Amino acid sequence: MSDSWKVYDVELQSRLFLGTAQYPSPAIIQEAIEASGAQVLTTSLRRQAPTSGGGQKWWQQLRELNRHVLPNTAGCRNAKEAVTLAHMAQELFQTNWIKLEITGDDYNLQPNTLELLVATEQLQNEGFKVFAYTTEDLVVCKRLRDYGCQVIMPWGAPIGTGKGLLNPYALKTLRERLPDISLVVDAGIGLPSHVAQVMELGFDGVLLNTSIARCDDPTQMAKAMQHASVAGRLAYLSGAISERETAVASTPVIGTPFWQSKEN
Amino acid sequence: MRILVNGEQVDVDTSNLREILVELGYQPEDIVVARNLEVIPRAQWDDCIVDEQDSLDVLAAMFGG
Repeated sequence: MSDSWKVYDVELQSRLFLGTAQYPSPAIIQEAIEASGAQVLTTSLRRQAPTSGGGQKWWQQLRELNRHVLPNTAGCRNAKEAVTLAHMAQELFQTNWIKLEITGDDYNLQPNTLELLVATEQLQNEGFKVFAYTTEDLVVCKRLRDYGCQVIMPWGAPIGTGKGLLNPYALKTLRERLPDISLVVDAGIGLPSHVAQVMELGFDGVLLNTSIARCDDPTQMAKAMQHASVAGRLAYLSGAISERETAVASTPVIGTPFWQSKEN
Repeated sequence: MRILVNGEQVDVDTSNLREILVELGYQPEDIVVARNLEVIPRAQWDDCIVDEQDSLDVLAAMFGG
């Protein structure tokens, strides 16, 4: 069954986006990416000392991986910083995709949605294709959509916590209220069951990093996450049954042996 | 001339951006530069004049989530 989807103008088969930070080694990044089947990889920009050369090696590896590159603005505190970093990412990576991420609080790394809206409006008007990292706030997400943002990425839980979906109700509401927007849960995922839950809600994808990179066996976990995304997606497409409060026998009642017994 | 490079005071002998990057030892192939928070496209490095106390940010690709 073909179940491809579009991210702006790019058609994808995989439902996973993969972050590239915190892996034990470049070789394990590569193995995990291949095991996950991910076609979109996130990357960042950092200040470069003249002699370090570290960025050069990573950019070379990233090119060789031959996936779609999604630069982020992690660490930015306001719209002006994020817009500047988006321009620099466009120049370096030669893409108009930008994962717009503006931190509003140091404790839980909650996105600053006020600054996010300002930056999204400006960058969309400049021709960028914004992937907006945000909270699950419906009103903010509707405004992002109004600014032309087609990929909205609400958090499941704070970055790196592995807590899964803290507010499934709000995420479900987002899906219902924004049926034509690509919704990707970004951050807070810890287990394959979380990925499956996201996909069962009808989300279009999941962005993972810490849950794979920091576990004992990233390659195996990447494979598990890939299976979970497929399982959840198929379940969503299958139209799951509704929950009910009372039991209903699945085995036919007609012809039940010992029916004359009244003990139960 | 004294300028800021990645937040640190640096003395340089030239005002031409490309020459500054070479003087500081950068490998130009895989970096991106902003002057006073405005990105300077690589194609403009030869013509870009940096002034005293200007701030340069020199960035490169890094792993990211």
